[in-house]
Amino acid sequence: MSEIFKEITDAVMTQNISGAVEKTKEALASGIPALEIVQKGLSEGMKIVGDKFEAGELFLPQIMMSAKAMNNAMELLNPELAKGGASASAGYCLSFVQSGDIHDIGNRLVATMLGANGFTVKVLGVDVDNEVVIEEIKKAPGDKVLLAGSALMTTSMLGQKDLMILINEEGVRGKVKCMFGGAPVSKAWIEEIGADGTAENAAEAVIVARKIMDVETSKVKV
Amino acid sequence: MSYTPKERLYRSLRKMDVDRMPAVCFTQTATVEQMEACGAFWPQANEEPELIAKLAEAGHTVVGYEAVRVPFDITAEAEFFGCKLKAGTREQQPSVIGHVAAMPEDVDKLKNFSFGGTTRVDRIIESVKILKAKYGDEIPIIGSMIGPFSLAQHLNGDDWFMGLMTDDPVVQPLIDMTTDFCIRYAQEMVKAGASCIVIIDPTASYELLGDDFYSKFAIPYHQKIAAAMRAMDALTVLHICGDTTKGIHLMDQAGIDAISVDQKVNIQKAAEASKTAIIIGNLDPVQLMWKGTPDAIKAECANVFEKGSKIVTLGCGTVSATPTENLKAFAEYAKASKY
Repeated sequence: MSEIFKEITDAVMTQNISGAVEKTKEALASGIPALEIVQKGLSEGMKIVGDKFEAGELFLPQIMMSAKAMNNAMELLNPELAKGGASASAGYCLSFVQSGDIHDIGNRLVATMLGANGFTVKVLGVDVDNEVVIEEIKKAPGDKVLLAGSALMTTSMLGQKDLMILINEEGVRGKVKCMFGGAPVSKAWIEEIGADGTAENAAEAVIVARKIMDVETSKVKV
Repeated sequence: MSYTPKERLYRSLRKMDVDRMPAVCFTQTATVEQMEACGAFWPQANEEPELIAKLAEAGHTVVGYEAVRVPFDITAEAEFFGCKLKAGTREQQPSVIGHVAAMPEDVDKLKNFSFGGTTRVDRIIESVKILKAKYGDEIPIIGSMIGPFSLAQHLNGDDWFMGLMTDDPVVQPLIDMTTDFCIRYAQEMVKAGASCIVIIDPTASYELLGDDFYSKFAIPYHQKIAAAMRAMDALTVLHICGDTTKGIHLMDQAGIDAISVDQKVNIQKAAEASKTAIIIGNLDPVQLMWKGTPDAIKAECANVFEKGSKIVTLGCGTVSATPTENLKAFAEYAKASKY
């Protein structure tokens, strides 16, 4: 059985989109639980890809392809996971760039790495108004949402403060964990606006996200 | 021997003997304080030739830079091809939110472009003419534009990065087309009076692409632009965001005069890695230039100069809230420097 997991892991690692889907089908057909396929096969592959990116061995095109391989395979697994009432997701995440900014690559990387590490990421894109974020928080499934917001310029950074005020006013503070990043964002700023965390880079963002979302302790319900 | 600012910029970028470094910002220069001082404000000052020129000029008249630089954002090029923009505000630049080139057929429809119309690109060219009429050969005019890789990404959208790997049929025609555009746009700016072209290609970052993709999708296209500019004796600066330290030797193959590096770059290693182009940068626009003090700025200028930055300047675009006194501190450092 470990052979098929290795094949799935390798398919994700080598950006083999059709291979990842085929091997996932094969694993399902042989009766392996969907959750196990995710945990021992797909996620393992993405974790290796993420590590290789941080080490400078793989780059953004490969990461995006591997993420696509995983996502395509997940489309097969999601109905199965839903049947068992299980979720393989580490959490639901809304990623967005606060407002007009040419440097949206950082946010995209964070979103990709969070997705690679088991988060279900909805990418809201750039120039996202605070009202849209609030709506998305309200619409989000489950009782806990991770915000991964970026602001690279001063004015958009000030928008984070407005967003925190709005989150409190709209009564959704209990539902969200707020992680903000970007060049001007510091720990002191995060404390000032009452958010939950920040990170220097995409790899650290994953660690911070898992911590503030309590991923290790809540684990996955089967 | 004393030089005009235009001569000094030329000589320092071409590694010729010169008295000192020029006081120049090669990335976005505008700030709210400069807008208030000159009366030309974003967003109108991104639109109208006279106001673009007026705000560019404030870098020289208010801060003391020895150059004037247009424009203040990198979205006019995508707008030129029909991408939807979100409008900018007084403090903020516009941004690209729509994409127009998903397939090779889309590129076919876009490639018969011409200049001389009324688009923002044409109005930026007009602003160069206005500045040239005023400053002649005394103060150099810097024209900046987005690079071919990032423009292709703007036109294509986020799938661009995956397309590089899957050999998507849109990739080659699109980057050929954006390169052609960049060459002709740069030529127009030079004809209008610019003596230095800054190619801003933020997403063609070595940090994101690595050796193979950078070699295949950035170098050949930057080389074409650099060669076209050299044929007109125009100066070229390549600015790419992110930690490009390990990619400097590849960026150097473009044939440009200077590589402008981000504050994340190890300037000493970069200076060692670049054999042809000079390394310029890399003052942190946020923590240092916006949040720091004039004393801290002068100390950091000395630090990056000592480590190998041939022209000490900002590592990325100026934050619009940056105080003028901080910008003056770095300009004063350059003017007091000795090579």
